[in-house]
Formats: sequence, C-alpha cells, structure tokens
Amino acid sequence: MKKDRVIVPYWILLLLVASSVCIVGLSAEAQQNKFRLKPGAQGKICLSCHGEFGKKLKQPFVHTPVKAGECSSCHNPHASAYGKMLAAATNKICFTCHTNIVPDQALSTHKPVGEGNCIKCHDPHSAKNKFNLLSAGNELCFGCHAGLADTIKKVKFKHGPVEKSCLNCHSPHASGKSVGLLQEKVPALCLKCHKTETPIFQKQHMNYPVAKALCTSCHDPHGSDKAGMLYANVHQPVAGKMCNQCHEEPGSSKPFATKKSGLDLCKGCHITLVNDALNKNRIHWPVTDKTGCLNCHSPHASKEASLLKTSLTDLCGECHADTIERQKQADTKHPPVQEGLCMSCHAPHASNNLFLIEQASQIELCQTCHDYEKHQTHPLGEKTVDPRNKNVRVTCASCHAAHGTANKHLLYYPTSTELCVQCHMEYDRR
Amino acid sequence: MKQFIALVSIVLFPLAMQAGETVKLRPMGSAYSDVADMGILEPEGVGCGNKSVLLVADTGHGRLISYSLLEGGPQPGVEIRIPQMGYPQRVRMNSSGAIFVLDGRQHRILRISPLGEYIGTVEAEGLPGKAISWIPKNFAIDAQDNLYILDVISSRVLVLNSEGKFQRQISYPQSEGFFSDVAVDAQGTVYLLNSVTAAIYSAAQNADTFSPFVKGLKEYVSFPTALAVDRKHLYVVDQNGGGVVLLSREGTFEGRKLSRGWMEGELRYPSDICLDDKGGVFIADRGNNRVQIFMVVP
Repeated sequence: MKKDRVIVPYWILLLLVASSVCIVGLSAEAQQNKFRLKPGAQGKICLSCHGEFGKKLKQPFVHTPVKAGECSSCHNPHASAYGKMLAAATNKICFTCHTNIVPDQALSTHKPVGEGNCIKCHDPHSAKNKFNLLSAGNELCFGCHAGLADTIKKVKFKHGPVEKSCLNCHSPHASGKSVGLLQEKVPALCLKCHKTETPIFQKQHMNYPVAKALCTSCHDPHGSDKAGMLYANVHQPVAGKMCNQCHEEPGSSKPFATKKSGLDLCKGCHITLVNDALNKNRIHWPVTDKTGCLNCHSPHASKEASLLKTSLTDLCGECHADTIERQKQADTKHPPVQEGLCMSCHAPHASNNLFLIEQASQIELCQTCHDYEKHQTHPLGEKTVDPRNKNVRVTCASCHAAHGTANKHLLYYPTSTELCVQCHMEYDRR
Repeated sequence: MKQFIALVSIVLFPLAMQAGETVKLRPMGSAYSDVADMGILEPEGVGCGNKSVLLVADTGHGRLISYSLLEGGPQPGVEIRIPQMGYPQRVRMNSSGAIFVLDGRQHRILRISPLGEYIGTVEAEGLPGKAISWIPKNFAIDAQDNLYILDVISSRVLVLNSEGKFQRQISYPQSEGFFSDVAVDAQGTVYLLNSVTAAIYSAAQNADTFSPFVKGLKEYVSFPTALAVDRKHLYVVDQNGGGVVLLSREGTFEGRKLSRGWMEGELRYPSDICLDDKGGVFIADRGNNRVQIFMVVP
C-alpha cells in the first residue's frame, strides 16, 4: 500500500527556522547579560554610582569592554572573592579574553606577563597611550629597567633603534624565537639593519664572516662608551684587532675555530696565571675542564671587569646555587655575599686552602673586615680546642656561617643560649 | 569480624613498618689521629676494601694514615709519608692492597705499595687520538683492579688496567654542570655524579656512553660531591648539606642519613665515602677533621 507523503506547510517550516534563530540569539544575549540587566542599563547603571568614571571614558584609548559598557565582563556587580570586585583572580582575568599573549614554547616571557601582572604596563580601563599603556615609549620600560635607562641615556655611543623604542628589538610580552624577549635571535635580528657585505664592515671585522656569529659577544646592544659600541672591557687581542691570535684565519674552512682549546689556548698569553694556578694545592675545577677559562670569562668583551661573563652572584650561582640561595634566605645579610663579592674571600682560580679561601687561617680571613677583638673576648685560635671535637679549633666559623643562616648574625642557632651550650654543656638548663 | 581485622592489623602493622624502613647506619666511632696522637687535618679521601684496612688521605698534613680494622674498631693509625706526595686528595686500594693516591698538586695518581713505598705515577699508556693530556679529578677501582679515572680536561672516564694501559673511555654525557665523582659496582657498571645538577649517570660494563640514571636529586641534596655503591645501594655524600643520601640500585630515593654539625654522627663538609665488604661505611668528615665509621644495619 502506498504511504501518504507528509507535506509540511512552508509557513510551519519558516516558523521553526525563525524560532531557532531567536533561541540562539537569546542564549548569546543571555550569556552576555548574565546578570539580567535592564535593556540599555549595562555600563550606564554602573555610572550612576561610579560617576567619576565618566572622565576615563573620554581618554583617547578605551578598553573595548569598557567602551561597550560591559563592566560585568571583568567585574562581578554583586560579590567577589577578588579585589576590586573582579570576576576572576587579578593574574588570570586578562587571559580570559587575551589568550594568545604568550606563545606555546615561548623561549622567554616578560616577568610581569608571566605573573599575570598586566596592569604593571596597561590601564585596564583607558589611557592616553595606545594599547592602554600607562606611559608612552621607552619611559614605560624605564620604570622598571631604571639602570638600563641610565646607561642608554648617558653612553657616548648610542644605538639608534634603542633610543627610538625598545620594541624595535624586543617583544613586550613573550618571544617564541629568542631569549631576552628578542623578536629574533642574534645575529638575525641585527642583520635586519646592518649590512655585513659592505667593504667597510668586513674590514672592521678583519674579514671574519661575523654575519654567522654572535654580535653581542663583542657589542653592547644598548650602547656603550667604547667606540664600535663594544662592551666596556675588551680582551686585548680583540681591541688590537688580532682575531687570528686565537682563531683560525678568516679564509679557512672553520674561521671561528680556535687554534687550541681550553687552558692550552689561554696560557699562550696568560702562562704565569695558569702556572700559578696549576702549582697550587687546590684548583677551581672549571679552570681545568674542556671549556676552561670560558666557563667564567667572555673571550671577547664584557660589561664586567676581568671579562667575567656576568656578575659574580649570577656567575658563581650557576654552580653554587645552594650557597647563593642560602644568603637570599638568611636573616642577616653578609655584605660580601649579598653584594656578589665572592672574591673578597675566595680565590677564583686556585688556592692552597680549603674552599679556595685566600688566607690559611679562617680568623685572619674574617679579620680583614671584622676587628673582632674590639667587640668580643671569646677565646679563638689554635690554642682553643672545640669541646665538641678535639681535632677542631674554635674559630669564627664555630658560631657563624659565612653564607648565612635562618638566624640573626649568621649564627647556627636562633638564640645565644642554644648556641653557647653546644660547647658549654654544663650550663645547658634546657 | 572486628576481632579478625584487629588481629590482622596487629600482625601486618610491624611488617608494613619494616617495609618502609630504609637502611640504618650504626655509628661505630671515629678516627681522629694516628698512633702518635697527631690529629687528622682536613681529610679529603678515604679508601677501604677487602683487607680490613682503612686508609685516610690526611690532606692537611700531606700524608696517609693506615688503620687496621679489627672488631673493636680502628687500631691506632700508621702514618705513610713520601716526598712525592704533597697533597693527597683521594686514596683507593686494589684487591692486592696496592695503594693509589690522587695528588692535588701534581694532578697525578701515585702508586704506593701496601707497605707505603712509592712505586711511581699512573701513566695512561696507549691513549687514543690526540687527546693525550689528562687531568684526574677523581677515580675508582673495580674488582678486577681496573682504574676508572675522571679526566676533566677531556670530558671522559678513562679506563686503565692495573698496569696503566688504556682499555677504553666513556665520554661524558651531554649535560650542564660538573662531574665530580665516579664509582663502579661489582658488575662493572660505572656511575658518574654531577655535583651541580645533582644527577647520576650510568654506563653498563663495556659501554662507551653514559645514560641518565637519576635526575632531580636537588630535592634531597645541596651539593653532592662523592658517590659509592654496594650490592644494594648508592650512597651520595652531600658536602654542603652534611648528610648522605641513599638510593636503591634502581635509583629510587631511600632516605637521607646524618645531619650537619660537630658531634659524633654529624658531618661538616664531608668529602669522600668508601664501603668495605663487611658493611662498613667510612666517611671523610673533612670539616670536623676526622673519619667517621658506620656499620650498615639492614
């Protein structure tokens, strides 16, 4: 038997389609108007109390949700577990809309971005500057990077793009291409402006193909007082343009290869220093490995004296992180440690004494700064045997830890009572 | 039913507790001086083995001290001084009692007879290629008397036989940090300790490369500088933290022993460890100018 076909009148179909559109639209609107504000009330209703906010709306750059009067995009109008009635934690709320600020596999992230501290740079409502920045241009960056600001302003040889804008080289949020928030790795970044094929460029670089090398090994990208924008301290062969003293000839198959490696290369000039180090009882082991001197020193130029790669705190901290950390957490700071003056006490290459201490006597070492005899009379020295151990003598280190402890005055124990009875056990009343 | 559960708990609880217990180190005293009562000073190394002898590199005095180990503890130590040995930093014994000393000033390993007579230096013969210079940072001796030398300048572990002839080399793994000790177990597996990253690498017998064995020891140690291995455990000496971390042979953390201080059972800047075949554990307690002796209690 033939079934009758069901014919749906067109007007019913039209009604169904129209209804679907309305439902979707209403859902979207409901989502936007989750607080069920009266029509036209979004934004305006907030201004009825927060009248002073009207001035913000007159700024040249207004945050889109603010402009649209969608205060509830960021703020909860009823109650909130977060400050300023924000709808989410301060360090997360911006990312609910701005999801791609930090790329996947970022090689470097700007600290305030990583901490979600967007308002360090941006006004969340409105500003005089594009992107709602709190200040314009480099002034914003200099607010935190004050030391660098000072350098950039004062150096004799300035780097043009740096003066104009930090963002000529750096990404403000994160970089998927390089460390240091650079938009590109060095030398690709530098080659965007600097033409390396010109005769004068090649002559200045002794015909070495430096377009494949690390420009920042010699040049300070923020400017310097040295011609050629070299770092403040330049290795003599570099200053003398004698690259081939260490490197193969520029026309060779491996022009940047060094003629020798490790200690063997450096002792060609620094023979006395190397021999002195090797003739001591204790050598700082990084001096002897394959990398040798370059573990700590830059071979070309550096901001730091003695061509150290970076500050001593950072440099020594690369291996001795636990010791640096101990000082950071210490109650009382020991200035030579805190200020990164490791060489006040330690010989960097070699010594005849434990821990590469310069002096044979620990007391003599401390006495270089502390005239302890003026403020205490506790017996110290070779004739004072530590009651805890007949082979140990009482020295400064019997009570104090030079790199810091959780207790005041670098003491091993929180109170003098607890400290003293370690040796004077007969007075232990605990 | 409740009574049954209570009974099972009473029986199983001690077993469960025992399963969680790690090895204990029973203190057996310390060696402070030699037979003439001259104290030890900044001892950097300890050597022991199957001869009931404890050797101490009394670095601060430029000598070795040899102690006979009897049931009552170490007997008064006999000094070994030779003009060629200015700054002994590590000392090891092979199966026949021959003594090997790493001298810090000469950057060479000295060979000394069991009676304390100087024989010569270990000269690595037959080194491959151009890498003929080597600087030993540390070394170990296996059951077959082969020497495993941490060659810092060439970033490798050199394996020499008992006569100093080159057998093979194991290149350092690609890693940040600095390798400061090497140990060998009875099966010939070589272990390498990175002090900066607090990681351990291993190479099976006859392998020429290292593989990661343990990472992430930073949670348990401040700055490890010495390593030893027995049948059941690896012992990692934490120089800056004044302790010893125990790892199973599979690399799992099994506990941290001892703590920083001056008293017996406490360590200050310990620098070396050795394990003998009777369960003895000897630690060069450098900052306390002594060698502490423990017995492993399973």
